[in-house]
Amino acid sequence: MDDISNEFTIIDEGTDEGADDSEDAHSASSFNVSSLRRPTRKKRETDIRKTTRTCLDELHDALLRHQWTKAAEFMQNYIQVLEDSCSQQKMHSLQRVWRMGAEILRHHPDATVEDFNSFYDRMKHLQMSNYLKVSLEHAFYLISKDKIDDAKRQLSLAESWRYGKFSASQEKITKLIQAYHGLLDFSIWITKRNQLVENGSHDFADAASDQEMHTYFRQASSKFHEVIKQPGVWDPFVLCFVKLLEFYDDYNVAVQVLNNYAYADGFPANPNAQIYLYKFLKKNNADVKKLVKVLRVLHILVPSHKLMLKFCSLLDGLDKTKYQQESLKILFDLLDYSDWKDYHKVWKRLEKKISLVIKLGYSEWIKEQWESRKDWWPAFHFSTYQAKRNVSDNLNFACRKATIAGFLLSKKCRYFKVVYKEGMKANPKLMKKMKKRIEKSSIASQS
Amino acid sequence: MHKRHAFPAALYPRFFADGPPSTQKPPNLSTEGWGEYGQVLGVLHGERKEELRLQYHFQHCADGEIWKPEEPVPVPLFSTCSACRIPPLTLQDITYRGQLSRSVRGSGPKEILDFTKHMEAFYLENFNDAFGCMSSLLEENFYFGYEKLNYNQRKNTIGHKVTNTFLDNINFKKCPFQRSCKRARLQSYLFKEVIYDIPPVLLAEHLHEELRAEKYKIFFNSVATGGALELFPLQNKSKTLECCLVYPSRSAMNKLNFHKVKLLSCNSGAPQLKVLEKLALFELNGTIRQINVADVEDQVYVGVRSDYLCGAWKVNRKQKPEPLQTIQMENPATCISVSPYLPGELLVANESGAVYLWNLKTGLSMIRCETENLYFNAQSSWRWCDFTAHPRVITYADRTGIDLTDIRSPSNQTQKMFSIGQTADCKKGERVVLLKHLNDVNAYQHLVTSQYSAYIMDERFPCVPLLKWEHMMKSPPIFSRILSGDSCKTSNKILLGTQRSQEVLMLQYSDGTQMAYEALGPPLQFPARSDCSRFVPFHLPHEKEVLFERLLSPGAGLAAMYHPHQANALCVIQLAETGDIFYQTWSRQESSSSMARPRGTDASSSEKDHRQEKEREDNGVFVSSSTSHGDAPKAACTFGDMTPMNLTSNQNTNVTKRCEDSTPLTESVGLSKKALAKLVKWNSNVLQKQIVKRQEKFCKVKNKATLALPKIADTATNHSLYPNIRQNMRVAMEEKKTLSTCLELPSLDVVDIPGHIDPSNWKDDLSKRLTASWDGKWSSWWENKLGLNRKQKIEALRKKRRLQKLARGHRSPGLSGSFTSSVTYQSDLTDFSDLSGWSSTDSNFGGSRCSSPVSDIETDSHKEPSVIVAESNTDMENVHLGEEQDHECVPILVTASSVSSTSQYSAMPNLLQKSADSVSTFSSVDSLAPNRIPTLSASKDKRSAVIGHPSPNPRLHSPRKSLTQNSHQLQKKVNQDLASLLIAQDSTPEPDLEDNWSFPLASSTQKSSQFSASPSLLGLPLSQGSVTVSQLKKKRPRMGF
Repeated sequence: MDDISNEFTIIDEGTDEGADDSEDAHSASSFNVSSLRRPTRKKRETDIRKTTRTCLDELHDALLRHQWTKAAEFMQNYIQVLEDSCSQQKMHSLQRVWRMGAEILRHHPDATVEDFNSFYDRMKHLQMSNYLKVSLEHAFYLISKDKIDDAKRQLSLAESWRYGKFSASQEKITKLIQAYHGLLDFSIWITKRNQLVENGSHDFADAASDQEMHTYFRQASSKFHEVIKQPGVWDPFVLCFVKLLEFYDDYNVAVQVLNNYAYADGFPANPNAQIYLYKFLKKNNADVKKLVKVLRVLHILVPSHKLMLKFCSLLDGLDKTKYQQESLKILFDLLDYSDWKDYHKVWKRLEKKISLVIKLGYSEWIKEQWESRKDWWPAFHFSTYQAKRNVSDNLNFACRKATIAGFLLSKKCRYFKVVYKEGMKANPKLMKKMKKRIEKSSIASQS
Repeated sequence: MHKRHAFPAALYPRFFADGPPSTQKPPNLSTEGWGEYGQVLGVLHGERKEELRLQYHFQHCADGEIWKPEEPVPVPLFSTCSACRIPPLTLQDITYRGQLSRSVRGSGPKEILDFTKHMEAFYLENFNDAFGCMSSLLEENFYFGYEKLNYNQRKNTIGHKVTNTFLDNINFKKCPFQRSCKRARLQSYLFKEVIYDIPPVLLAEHLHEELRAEKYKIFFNSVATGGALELFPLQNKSKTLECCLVYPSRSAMNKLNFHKVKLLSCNSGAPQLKVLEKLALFELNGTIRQINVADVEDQVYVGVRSDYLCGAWKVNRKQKPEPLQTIQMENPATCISVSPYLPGELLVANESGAVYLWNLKTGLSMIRCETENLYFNAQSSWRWCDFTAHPRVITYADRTGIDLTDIRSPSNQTQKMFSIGQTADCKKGERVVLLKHLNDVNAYQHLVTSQYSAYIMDERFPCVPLLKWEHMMKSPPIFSRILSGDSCKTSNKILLGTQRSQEVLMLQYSDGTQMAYEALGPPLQFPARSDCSRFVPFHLPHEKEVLFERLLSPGAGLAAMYHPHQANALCVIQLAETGDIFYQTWSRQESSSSMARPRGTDASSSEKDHRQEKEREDNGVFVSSSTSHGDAPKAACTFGDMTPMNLTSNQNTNVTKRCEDSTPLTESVGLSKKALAKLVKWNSNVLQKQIVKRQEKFCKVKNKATLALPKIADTATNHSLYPNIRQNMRVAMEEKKTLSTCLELPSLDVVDIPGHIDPSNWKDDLSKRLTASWDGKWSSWWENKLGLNRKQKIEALRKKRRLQKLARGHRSPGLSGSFTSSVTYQSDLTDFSDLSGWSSTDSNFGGSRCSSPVSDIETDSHKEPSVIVAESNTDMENVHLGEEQDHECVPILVTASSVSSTSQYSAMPNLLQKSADSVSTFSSVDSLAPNRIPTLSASKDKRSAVIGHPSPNPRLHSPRKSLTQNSHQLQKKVNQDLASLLIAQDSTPEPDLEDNWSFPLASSTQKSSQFSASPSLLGLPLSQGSVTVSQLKKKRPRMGF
């Protein structure tokens, strides 16, 4: 028996408030003695609950069907649920009023910014445990309306808000609020900086604005610094932080921040972290070996990333022979993925690489790569259908692929045969050249 | 590399933590998918250095594409239905009352299954197994011959007549109180150990278990996961109109159909699905559970899963489907998926926990086998698998999570991609119900659905969802379709379908090649098949029942496609478990101005609507009456103002004004003629095929004789007294009408309901006592009367006030923090000048809102004495009523405006009595002469009468002052003394407050104002609204915490 069915059946019965209501009755019934003592424990649904539940169902449907005016009408009536005194339900219904109310206001044709502001304000004070979350959403709304100053004010209010003990989730939201506050500080900083750049760097008389800019820098960077320490995904904050540090030429701190973001314990394996580090290092003309190191980690995480081509050329540039095996593997790995299947550049590189490796006398490297692919690459890359399509699309490309097929599978393979046959009609010279190359050095014929 | 496969350049911020999901139980009807922006991404944009600016992206964007249905409900695709003669199992078949008690989990007494009926069926149908032994033993005691038996034989032999009648009667429902039943029951008690071969207890246990399993299947049957409906374009992907629909049919759903259909684009804009010829039909040896299709190298491979058999078909461009291979499994298969990369490769998973790679050339090879669940023990044998961007890496899923597994070396090459836990912000009890590879959108991405949410996962960044929706569906979505927006430059769409609740939901998200994914707009629900019942013409009840049963049958599959030439048209096809296929076309509302704007507000669209409506009416369209909202009340969006908080009159007018502006609901409710014709035809087909004799079999009582009237002609002479009545009666019996309509009896007069009685009019003791006893307070009345409970009351009052005082002392330090937020945005202060105070002064919202007449007078002349009198009056009542009411909750629950409370006051004699009593308690404390009490209560009575009708100019009431003053002085003294008894330390600031006040009518009002402040010492809230009081109130706790 699947335990999920328990979960599902409970949902399915979904008589909402009534169900919440009988929850304690249910828990009581699992305890046999008490259920015997009170056989008719099941509470009767009071009228207000009944009406609000019906109203909620209608409201839910109207919202799901995007009937905003109808939903607003139901919402007006649903508000009465707040008069229900049961605290457990009140929490749920407050949550519902907030969620659905906000959604209706987002879409209602007559909703104004003022409506939003007053609505969010009321929701904040109605439910203290949700104050921070609603504040954050309010700030987002203001950001979406391009009212950065108001949003900033909301966030600073939320930052200084204290009520009772913070739960774990509230602490997280506080951190987020700080970080978003930092982001807004950063946006103000950037407009100030833009002004400064526009005015020209010679005009340093405006020290006051310079000073102000610095204050924003300090505020934003301290907030970013705080949040980036926590394990998580902080792409926008890291980018902005690095931008700030770059402006003040704090290269070492920026590298430290990016390194920490990419490699620190507890952080998820975010490919973007590696990419940011790579881009920053590259921008600052870092050592090639450092770049290779970063890309090697990225190759483990995402073998199909487009920076892998760059990685290949970096390795080739380092040493003609030492890193050939690695770059060969990178190219093979790239072609494993369906989205690189018809990417000409990779096939071209692979062809060159294979002929180079054969020339160097390391054909066992190719065999090693081919070993795990021989059972499915012929069907994946070198099928008759592919051959016909490639020839009709681009003969040169088909020829290149056929050469590789020949290297790997010998000239008897289907792909080669089809390309050769079709190619002879169009460009016999090229085909003959190709055949000659393969006869000379095919790993399949060697073995 | 194609651009669409790129990884987003920046992701939304989120915390990362490992661990089990939260322990909080989610509410039953979730609303968490709405009203949220989620997270914000600030990204730097700009070419040149001085043009850099931060651009914001929201995880949940408010605006999405607007889609409107062409027809209000889905219509049947095939009017000739392959009728399902076996009616689907319903809850009523299994459960006793047709509805389940909530305790599904526990085996409490509430859960009553109708297994007596099932037991009965077993005994009747399998009698050889049930009674084999006993019947062979008793064989000699039955006689089936026709010859007469002698006496001795007759004694212990049962003849054929008895057995025949018994067997005949078995088919009828019998009255349980019949005598023979009783005898049978007694016999059964006597012989129950002997006559059964299988002990009934054992049988019942097994049956119960089986029924329970069946019941869970009705709620959620995971075998249908994935869906048995597929639609693929017949020629190459480019712009063909002809598609192939693959679906199961027949009563057992075991015939695989390949049907050619075509999307016709009509002139009016609504594309229609037209059924062309059938390509092929295959009969299988099992119910088709899932169909999966993949397009590989110009050929379409179709994988079909039934419980123990899986098959593969191929449809080439010659449009001829051909069967390829079939495999049989020992364990029921749970999943089949066809490789989009390599021709002739499929994945099959089964309940043993194994996943096989099924190559049509080389056969089956096991990839991975897990007998346990992946991340925790969910006791589930459901397994799922799908392909990824790498042709040799697959996803392996169960209820607890998803793994990436390398086919080449499965033992060491596994990686976690998703697990139920804190990382993905899962809820308690959440489970994976479906996994789908989003090959058309982004080869690296997967859709994961649970009963609460839908996630988009990227295999390049495992464990962390790129996007998450709360889908808010009533049952878990086990069907899904992805519509890539890439080809027609629109948003990507996910369609989710559920089984039992028949919901179909559309989620939209932006393409995430540049930035992280944005969810666009709120989820949109498509009408379910069951909505058709609105448009089905009138039927007899039993026909209706059949039809409803059919329409309400659970879903079994979902398919969707864009119109190849019009990206703004969408066709959604749904398959039911009974084999019915319904479809609906949707069109996109183009105009950007109508974004987030309901139909009808836009002038042009409403005009268009109107025209369409008219067209439809001209065509003789059936318009459902139940849904026409012609007289729907006008809507307003400002429901926020309806919260139980203070509303300023200014805002009120705004609300009403906006109400007038907003348009009534206009929704196209008509079904076009063509669609209706289809529906009606399908309907009649269903009825024709499905109506079997469903009438219950009952013992028939012949009533012809009893209803026949004795011939009147014979007895006319004897009964000539009431010829008319007799005549009428005979007519009534012939016409089978009720007698009353024929007899023309005089109609009865309607007696009015007695009017409302106001007990306050009776002043005498007896009446009061009777009133009290009517309310069930007879004994307390006597106690009050005799003063027996005086001491108790004093004690209780003291204790209560002490507690309140203590509570106040505890709370005060936390308050300042919570009210820093009371500052509203300064930019809005101008508009909200009248509102700005609400968060501080009125923050005990729902609290006694100052009644409008008083507050109107009050706004400019806040030093008016009468207002303070009004204030004090309510306060005084609070003092008196304070004995019984909890004042902590008063401001939240009761909207006690001064006027309403005074009227309430006069309407309740027992309350009056009580207040008088409470005053008497005061007097006893302060050793005041008891003879003052009558004066006080009398003055109060008068005052309440006066204040019940406040006049525009309160100064006119000056004669009243002496009275009120008198009472205030008394009351003040009482309160002060009591306060000094209880809380001596607080009395010091009081004179300061008094000194700060300057009133025009100093002598009287100062005292009254002091009085108005004095209840604060007792921790009682004041009604607010006046500026003067709000100044005082800064010293008091607000909002009740």
